[in-house]
Amino acid sequence: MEQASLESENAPKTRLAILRTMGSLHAEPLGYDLDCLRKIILDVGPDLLCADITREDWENNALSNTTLEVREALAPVIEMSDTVLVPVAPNQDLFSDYKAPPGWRRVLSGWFGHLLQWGQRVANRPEAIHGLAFDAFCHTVCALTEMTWTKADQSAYQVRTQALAENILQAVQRDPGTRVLVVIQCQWEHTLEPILKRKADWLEIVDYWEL
Amino acid sequence: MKGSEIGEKHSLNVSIWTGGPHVLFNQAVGALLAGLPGIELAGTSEDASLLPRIQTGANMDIVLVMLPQPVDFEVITDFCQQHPELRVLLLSLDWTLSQVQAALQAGVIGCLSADMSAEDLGNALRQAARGEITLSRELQKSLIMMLAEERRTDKLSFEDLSLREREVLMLVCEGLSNKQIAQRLYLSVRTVENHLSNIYTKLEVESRTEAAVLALQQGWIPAN
Repeated sequence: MEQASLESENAPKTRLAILRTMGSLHAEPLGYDLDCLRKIILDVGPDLLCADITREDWENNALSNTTLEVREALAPVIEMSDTVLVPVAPNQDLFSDYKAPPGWRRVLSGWFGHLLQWGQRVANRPEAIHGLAFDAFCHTVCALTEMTWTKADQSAYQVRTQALAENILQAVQRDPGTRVLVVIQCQWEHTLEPILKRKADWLEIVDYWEL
Repeated sequence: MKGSEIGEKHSLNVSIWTGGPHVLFNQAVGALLAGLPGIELAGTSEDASLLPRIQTGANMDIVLVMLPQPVDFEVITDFCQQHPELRVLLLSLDWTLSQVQAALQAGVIGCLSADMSAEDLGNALRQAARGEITLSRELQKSLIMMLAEERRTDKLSFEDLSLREREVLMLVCEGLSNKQIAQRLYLSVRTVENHLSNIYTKLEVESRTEAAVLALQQGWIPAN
């Protein structure tokens, strides 16, 4: 037991960063988003890149089922680098086209959606999106948006986040000591990061530029 | 005349019986032996299956047999058991390790390869006459190499590899690159390289090709 404990203490910590993407907030995604994303991934050069695509879709090259970022930025970058893409989506449900039930919920949800889009127009650089100000703004708006959801939708969202986190943790446990970049839609980050941080004893969560 | 007596008296009077399916070979060996000092040719047979019917006599010390193909070691065993006073030497163009083992177990005193020189053949016969186990120089070398190789592959086991290393080796055998293996197993390329390095060390090989060939040869991974 003592030996095992010593070994786990000596095992290198896995460094993990979460890179937020915002493609789903755009009806018409902006061109520079993807160029910027490609550049960041190539510059960071992570060992593993966890992406929001199901294993089935990734292995069958069914990229049309996934987000624009995965399809047009992550997949091509994986081809040209040594980075390995790990599909971590538990299902295809991205909640990006979620519509709250009619009535006050939909009105508020729509308003929060516009607010998020405004926030992204203001914070239109990766550094700004990952900065403290946008972090607080985005988390608050997302939390408020979720309050407009029905209990069933909130529950489905929590279940998916939990499964997403478990898949990421499995990938990390399978290959400890690696540099892992999680590329995820912004809306999942504020619930995903706390779950991953609970594993901080063997996982070091850093900003993507520190990876 | 017993081998020990020969040794004590430094006498080299050795009688030979050659047997084998190749007429030309028998005649050539016969002529060769006739030219060797102190060696007397007792007779030849062109059919190794006649071995049990060899007329043994008081002057016969050594029976030299060209190893027939297919070889029947039971006949040789029976002959050795019936004639413990004789030294049986076998001669073959191409020995396998299992044939040498079977021959020695059958009771023969020596295995000679047909590519030896006349001088070496003479020395081998004298050695056999003294009761010493005799293996031709080339065969000794091959045997040592074969034993070393057998010992090396014997101690290698697929079970010595971890589950992950076995998976990596299987994908190496499929001809996948490190990146493709990494993507297939959802591991980093660096980790795959580490696994490969461990595989090389455990299997005592120096390249992925060698590792794959060994895995296929040993039947750890089916060829198709």
